[in-house]
This record gives sequence, structure tokens and C-alpha cells, in this order.
Amino acid sequence: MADILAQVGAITTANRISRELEKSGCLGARVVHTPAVLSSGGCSYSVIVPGECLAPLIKVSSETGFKIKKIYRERAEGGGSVYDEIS
Amino acid sequence: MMRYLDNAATSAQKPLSVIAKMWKETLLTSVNAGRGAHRKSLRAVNGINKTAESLARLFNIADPSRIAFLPNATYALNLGMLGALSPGDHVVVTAMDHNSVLRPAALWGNYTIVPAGPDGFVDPGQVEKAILPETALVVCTHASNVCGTVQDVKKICEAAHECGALFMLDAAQSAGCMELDAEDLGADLIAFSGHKGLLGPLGTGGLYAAPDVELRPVITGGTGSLSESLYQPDFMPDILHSGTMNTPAVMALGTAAEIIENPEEIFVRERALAKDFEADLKNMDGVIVYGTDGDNRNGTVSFNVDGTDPAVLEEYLDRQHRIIVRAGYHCAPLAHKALGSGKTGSVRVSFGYFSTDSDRMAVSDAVYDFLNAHR
Repeated sequence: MADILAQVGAITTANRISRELEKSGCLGARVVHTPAVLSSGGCSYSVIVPGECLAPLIKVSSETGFKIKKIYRERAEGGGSVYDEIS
Repeated sequence: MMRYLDNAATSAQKPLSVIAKMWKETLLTSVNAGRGAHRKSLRAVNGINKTAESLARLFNIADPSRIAFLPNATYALNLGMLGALSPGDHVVVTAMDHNSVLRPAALWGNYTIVPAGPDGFVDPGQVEKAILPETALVVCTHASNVCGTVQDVKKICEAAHECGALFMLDAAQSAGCMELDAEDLGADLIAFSGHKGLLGPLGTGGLYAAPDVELRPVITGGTGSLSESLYQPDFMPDILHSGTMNTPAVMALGTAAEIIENPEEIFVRERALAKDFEADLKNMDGVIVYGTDGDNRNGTVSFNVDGTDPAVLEEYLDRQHRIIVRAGYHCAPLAHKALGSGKTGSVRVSFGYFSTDSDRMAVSDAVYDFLNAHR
């Protein structure tokens, strides 16, 4: 299943989301710079989670109040990554 | 052996695990937290978040992201006070407050100082009377850094809220060594030091802002977030996190916060030492003890030997008995004025986490020796 990328406002939020996901049993979350194609420049961070963690990701965000700006599904295309906006 | 009894200034003795954490993270995590997604930056962010979570548990704060880490309580008080006030606003402070509250109020210009009684207490009714229609903020210290009196901050907070003002608690002397329940108290802002009752490293402190409190940034700069904008992020904690943080110290503060399981127990133990010491002093001729003799006080005692410069006694205790205390005004001149020690200041003995009854007896005996030697 393709990875999910959740774009957030600050690295603090990204870290908290990844830790909450880990607590809920959703392993493999990674904090990364938001890919340039999705970012307007400057410092922006995202959490990448395995595809099966989409539901836990949304649950963590709604339960904790950690704001997610946008969620994308990542897929490979032409040797690179393409991001399809989910919400 | 040296006896350290200046814990109201800072807890100079730290748990070994705090020292070890500081050392370890200085080696591993001396990096800029949240500036980049490399492993060291992420380790730093993770450590800082863990410290926020530990403190949130200790202070009963629901959302750890409402805690910002700052170099000390003075920074927190300045950023909280000046950030909560808008042009035209009035602020109420009290005579028992430290200069880290009084000076920002004086800098702001539009302020009222509520007097305190000779017992070191502020009457919440007087606070209510001082609140004007344009009062936006009431600030009060939780426990006096001069004589240890614990104010009725719950009533003062209620008075502020009834008049539509925010309430800011100065918890410099209480965080970690007194029960502090942010939710129960309902304070809008809480400034705390990390290096006193919380037993963290020097250079640590912080500010809690309740979820509905909006602050204006006082210090702006790099936060590692919204970097494309010329304006400071408006969300906590980034709004207060400009510049490089002392990451190892904040992570070690988290270790310290985990050690403190029951602040009320610490409070009761330190207060017992203070009350026993006060009883010893009151049995000595020519000793004046300031503030309350009741139970609403912590482990800090202020006194003078009649006709003696407090600095002379401080030096005597250090040189002759290797006991560290502090003489002077303790940066709270109005508190001294209220207590009756406004002309000279006082000698302050402040018991802390590591203080023992042996320390209490040693300082009592040393004051007694001083009286015998100088009479």
C-alpha cells in the first residue's frame, strides 16, 4: 500500500504525531522535510506513514488536536514521487 | 562539609541523573532542535517534547504544546506580561512580587501595585479593588522568594476572571516543590523556573499559556517553522521559541521532572524545616523573623540579627561554618518594605529538596554562635 504524507505546521507537531502513532501501534512513521513540490519554500515538515496508518493518523489528529494541513498519498511515477491530495 | 541553603535562588545541588542526562545530551544532542529533519534534530525535538509532556503531567496541563521553554522565569514573566498586554491596558501586580514582575509592569507604565501586610500576605479583596475597567492582566507570585508566604492565588485568579482580566501566576518559587494544578487553578499564564524546585539545570524555565490565551510576540526570529513568512508564527510553542534553545538542559529538565513524584510531600518537608528553624530563631534574643508563622508558607525564612548588617551574617555563616545563605533585598524591595525589613533587607535561609534536619540544626547553631561572638 502506498505511503501517506501528512503536512503539518511545525516539526514539534510532526514529532508529536509520530509518537502518538507509535503509541497506538502504528509503527514506521518518519518526520521529513515537506517535498519541494508541496511546499511554498522555507521550513515545512511532514510525517510519512505506511498506507495502513491513514485511519490512525486521522484519529490521532482529531483526538489530540494536532493540526494536519493536508494529507497526500505518495506513488511512484517516472522515477520520482507524485503526491495525490486526499484531504 | 558545605551546607547549601539558598534554594530560593537556585537548587545548586542536582540529582545525579540530571547531571548525567545533561552530560549525555551535550555529547549527543548539542544541536538546534527542529531546524532540519536530520536524526540529531529529531532527537532534540523528541527530547524537548518529552520534557513538555513530563511537566504537563506534573502541572496537570492537558496540552503539552502550550508549554514553551525559556532561559528562566524572568524571561517567561516578561514574555507573558508584555505579550498579553495591548496598548491602553492596565496591569495589577503585588508588593510581594519579584522585580521580574515589578520591572515589566514599570516598563509597561500603566500598573497598580497591591500592598501586602507585615505578615507577607496579599489580600485578594485588595486585588479585586485594584482592578480597573481597562485591567487586562493580574500577576501574582505563588510563594514569596523573601519569606515564603504562599498567596491565596486561587481567589486572586477568580477575582481577575470575574473582572474579565487574565491571571498570570509567577511559579518561580513553587514549581516542583508545591502542588501546582493548572486546570484547578485556572491560571491563564504560568511562568516557572526549571532550575529551582524542579531541580533542572541552570538556564531552564518556561511559560504555560492556556489554550484560549493569545500572546503577541515580544522576541521574534528563527523558529524552524513558517520560515517563508516575515512574521512570527502565532501558535504555541513556536511563538516563544525564537533562536537556539539549550537542548541538553531542557532534556535534563525532563529527567528532573520525572524524579519529582509528589510536590506536596516536598512542600510539607521543606515547610517543617522552615518552621523548626523559625522556632529556633525565636528562642534567640535580638533575632527578628519576618512574615507569617502559620502554615501557608514554604521552606524559605527571612530574618535579621538586630543591629547587624545582613551581609555580615551571610559572610560569617559562609566563612566560619561553610553554610550558604543569602543576604540583601532578594530582588523584591517592596516585599521587604511590607515585612519591615525595607532599610536593610534580610538574611534568607531557603531549604530545598536535599536539605535535612542536620542542616537546620547546623544553621541554627551557627546563628547562635554569631550572637555569642558578637554580643
